[in-house]
Amino acid sequence: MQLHMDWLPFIISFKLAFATTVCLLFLATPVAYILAYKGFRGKPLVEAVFALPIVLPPTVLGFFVLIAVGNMSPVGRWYQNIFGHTLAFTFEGLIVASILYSFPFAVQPIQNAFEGVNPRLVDTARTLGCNRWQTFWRVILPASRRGIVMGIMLSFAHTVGEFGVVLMVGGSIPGETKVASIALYENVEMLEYSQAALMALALLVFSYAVLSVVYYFNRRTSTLVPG
Amino acid sequence: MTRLVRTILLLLFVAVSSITPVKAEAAGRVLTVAVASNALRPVQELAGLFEERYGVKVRISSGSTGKLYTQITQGAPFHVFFAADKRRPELLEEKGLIERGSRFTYAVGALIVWTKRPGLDLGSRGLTFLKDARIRRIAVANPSTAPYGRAAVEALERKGILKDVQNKFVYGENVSQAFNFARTGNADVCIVALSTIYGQDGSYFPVDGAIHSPIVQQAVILRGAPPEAREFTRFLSSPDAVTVFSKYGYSVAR
Repeated sequence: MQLHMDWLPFIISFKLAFATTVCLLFLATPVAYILAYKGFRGKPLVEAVFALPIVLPPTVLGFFVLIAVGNMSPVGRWYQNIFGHTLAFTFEGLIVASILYSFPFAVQPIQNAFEGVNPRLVDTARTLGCNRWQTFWRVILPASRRGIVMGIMLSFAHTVGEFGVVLMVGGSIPGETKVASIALYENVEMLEYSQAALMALALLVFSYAVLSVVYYFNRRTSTLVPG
Repeated sequence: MTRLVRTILLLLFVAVSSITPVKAEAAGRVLTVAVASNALRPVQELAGLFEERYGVKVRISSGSTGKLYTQITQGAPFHVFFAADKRRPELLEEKGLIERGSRFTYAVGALIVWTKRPGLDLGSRGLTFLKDARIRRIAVANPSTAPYGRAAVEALERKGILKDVQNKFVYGENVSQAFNFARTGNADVCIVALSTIYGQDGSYFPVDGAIHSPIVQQAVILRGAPPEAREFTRFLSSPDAVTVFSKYGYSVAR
């Protein structure tokens, strides 16, 4: 039995997960802040929208994305007019889809962490003359780092494990949109079981490592930052 | 709290009552059939006719040929398997997982090029038109997993234009997905089965069947299937079945 592992899909998966996680850090943090500290009418409805990707089957989410970037939607036509091609079947397209797909996995731990910050700390900072921005940077953010690390790890891992969404919008282009999970799936379809098993093993080891780090971090920081 | 308890009881009741009919149905004669996605619609229609005439309930699972094949080798409880190719049925035969001599061709697929792009009428075109600069993305079924994808690549190779158009390819998991890519306007054209565009508008031209190996779709009766399975496959070779298959864009050469 001859086995040679094609690592390219793995590299793409990691590039995708990295880019998605960086984007999510900047997009999810303000959203988490608003959801944690601002009360407004219809807030549960907004929270529910952000949690939808957890419930929606990934292929359904992917299908929505495919329609949204196609030439039947104004957004899709606008993008195609500027760039001359659709967002589907490109690496950038996968980033956009992954941001949607992993959004709740970044927002929820960060929001929980923000909500868990002792209000007294925040009040004290304010009475000592910190403005909201300073309070956020110097008090809330350091006290929430456990949740933020959680958010980063989960978004990264969730994106590496992404399948249905990429299947719908990726087009399986080698070196561009063919990620590890898709390559694995194609191996199963081609009845190349040993190749598939090898890739699955690699993904399993990776996932286990990430989760172990998350839990390790969780325990260590929880003893450092009480409450 | 009592309201919560009542809600839970209600949900349980709904869950239980939705399970029960399945059990009742299993008491009658039921045939479980695995169908490759591209043949789902004709087989579904024929299964309906079969149920009416023979009083046998047909339960259909559909998916890709590769997936269903894998499930069958792992003991999935299917009685009949309609594949999208002949390789997987042959493999099952080699493994001794089918009723002896039950492998037969139930349909032969036709390859077409389809578009819905305004101003891109394909009506009287041929394969070389795919080189046109207006066509930037061509959706095909993945040639390494889908028979129609392999046939498309073969045809383009035979025409000598594979190299010119290959960089325009985006790959769908199967013909339906390749079609979706073009239908949603993300690809300009798609190379799919004639059966894929059943009931759709848009324009298309057929690919000459002589320049790719025939897309032969075979079915098998799996070992241990009840006698109804034989009745069902016989029904699927009847003149009625031929009519249905050709309506959906298959030929039934035997």
